[in-house]
Amino acid sequence: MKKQIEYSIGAMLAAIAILLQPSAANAQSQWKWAFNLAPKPVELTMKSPTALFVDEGRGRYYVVESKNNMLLSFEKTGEYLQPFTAEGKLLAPFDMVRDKQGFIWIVEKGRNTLTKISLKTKEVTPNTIEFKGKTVFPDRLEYAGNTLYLLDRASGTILALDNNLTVDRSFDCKDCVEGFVDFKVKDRKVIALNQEQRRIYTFTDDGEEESTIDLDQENLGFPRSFDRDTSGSYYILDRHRGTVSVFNRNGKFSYSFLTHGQAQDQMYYPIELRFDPWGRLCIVDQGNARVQVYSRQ
Amino acid sequence: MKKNRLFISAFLSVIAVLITCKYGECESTCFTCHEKAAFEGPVIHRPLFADQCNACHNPHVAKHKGLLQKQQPEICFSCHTDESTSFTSGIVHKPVSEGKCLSCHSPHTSNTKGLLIKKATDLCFSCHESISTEYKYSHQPFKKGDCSACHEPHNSENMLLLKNESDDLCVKCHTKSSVKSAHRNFPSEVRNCLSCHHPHGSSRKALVRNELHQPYEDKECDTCHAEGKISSQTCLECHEEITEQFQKTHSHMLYGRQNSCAICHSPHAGNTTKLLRGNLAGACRSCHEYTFQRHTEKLYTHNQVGECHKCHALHGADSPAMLAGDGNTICEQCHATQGQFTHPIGDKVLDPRTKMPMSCVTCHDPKGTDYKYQLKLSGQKALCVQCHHY
Repeated sequence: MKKQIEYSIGAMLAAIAILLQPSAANAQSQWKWAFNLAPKPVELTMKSPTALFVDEGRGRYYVVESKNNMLLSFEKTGEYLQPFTAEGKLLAPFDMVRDKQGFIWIVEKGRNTLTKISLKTKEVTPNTIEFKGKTVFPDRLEYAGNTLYLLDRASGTILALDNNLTVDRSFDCKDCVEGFVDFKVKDRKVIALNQEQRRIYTFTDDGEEESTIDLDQENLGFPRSFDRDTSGSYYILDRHRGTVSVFNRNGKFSYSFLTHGQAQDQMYYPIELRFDPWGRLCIVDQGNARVQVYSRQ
Repeated sequence: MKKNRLFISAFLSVIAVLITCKYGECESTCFTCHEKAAFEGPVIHRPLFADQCNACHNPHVAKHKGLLQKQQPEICFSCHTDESTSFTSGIVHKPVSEGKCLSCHSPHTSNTKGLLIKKATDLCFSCHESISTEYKYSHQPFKKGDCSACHEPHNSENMLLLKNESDDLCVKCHTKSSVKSAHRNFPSEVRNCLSCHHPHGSSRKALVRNELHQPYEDKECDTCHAEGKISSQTCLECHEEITEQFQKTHSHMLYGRQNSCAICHSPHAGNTTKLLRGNLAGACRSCHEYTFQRHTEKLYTHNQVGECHKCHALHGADSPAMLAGDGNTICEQCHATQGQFTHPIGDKVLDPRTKMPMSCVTCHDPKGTDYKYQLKLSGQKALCVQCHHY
């Protein structure tokens, strides 16, 4: 009888422990919403942000607003600064970087160009990029070590451009049917996401494939963007599911957080994810027209 | 005392009936009223053949119509146990996913193997009415009405419920050597049979699809093949007008080294002038299977599924999900009166959660949800309090 009671109490405590566990989706999430990047006044409502560029030196965020054809700048605290329209000359801007000389480079989807903007002379120069005799369809853009890295949407290949905007070297996976959908440049390495294979490729800066990591397939629907944190974990943005899934350095699934929707801590067709230099996780939530910034708890 | 005797004798009678029925001798009891001739035929369901009516029916009382012990499909799966799990994998035929076994099968007798309610051909075409049957040249299995030669009736891992990947299926009858000799001088291994051939029929010999790509018809292969590998840019050199449609935030220029155009369009022959690979829904579904699955699993779905082009810009768009416009203009194409008397929508009405203008897709998910009117949450309360806090 005593044994039976002990069993019952044990089972009850186990059940209570299970019930008290937080939901699986956020069970191990270390991230807490800090602020949204939102322009003021309200008339300048973001409509369709597509990319975030972080200028560490200036301590600023720049959001590419594709529908309003402008760039929006923010202090690193999230305080809104001003819009930049290049005097109305931008056409569906998609991504941007600012180089060491202070030039702004913008991927303009509307013109299919990599456009150079001089803030001093106010000169706007659209450039059509060619690779192997074909017109490049510019997509994602990164800048590191005085080099512009451009993802060609048509081939899925990452291109490193020289000062004349000719392709100096390229980064592609030789064994895959489809190419890359996003990439980052870290520690002189190009890290790229292959959506079809759910695989992360790492290349040396001269274009040699160094390693690959297969991500747990079952935890991903439509991976669209990614970044790697300082511990080597990969954060994968799932556009259709509206989640961020975290994988360890070997590709093993750790946990996921955020859900699909419009409320706080939800995403609706998010498009880009990146860590800022201050350790925060920034997500460009295109469908909800906001950039959500999360800090570690 | 007399009452007790009556009760006991009635009780024993019931037990006797139940026991005898259990051992297959209820024929005389059930068919006393139910005419036996109506349950005879070349193919008989095994419980009926064994006179075990009560395998499915309760002789006295039941919650379900026909005095069934359980509803379909549960009653079917109580014997067909393996199917209860095997029918859930891959792409599932709609009647199966809806648990409507009796849409195709008779529970008692049939003239057709598999207890089908009609001859197999008639059965398939009773739903798949839009499939043309009039061809100058027809594929033999199609002509014979043998749909199951290529398609699985319940579920499959392959699109269109094909028994195998399409090429593997073709070579089961058309040997590799015969395919090779029919495609002499083909520069690489012959594959993607359905890219050029219609699996049911055509007005052209060898079942080549009716509409031909002009260079292919003119036998000017070098127009596309001169440079070896063909990319989407090769197509855009002639189809310049499409280039602009790819210059959007989102497009079907697919980050790939394979030709993005050829994923949806056949470079040689198609059913329509667009040279799509199969019908539109089929072309979309070949990549967006997850979206179609999600749609079919929901309780309330949009009835325009399959006519993707009505809402989506198929080459590219600046809106998420490649919608051909904002969440209002697209819906108003069909739902003309909406927006005039519903919840306020438009640029001046902002969703407090996102500061974005309210549109139809703020509350509705056109792909389908488990809530009436395809609302994203219950319209009773949960959806409203997202914005209207107490």
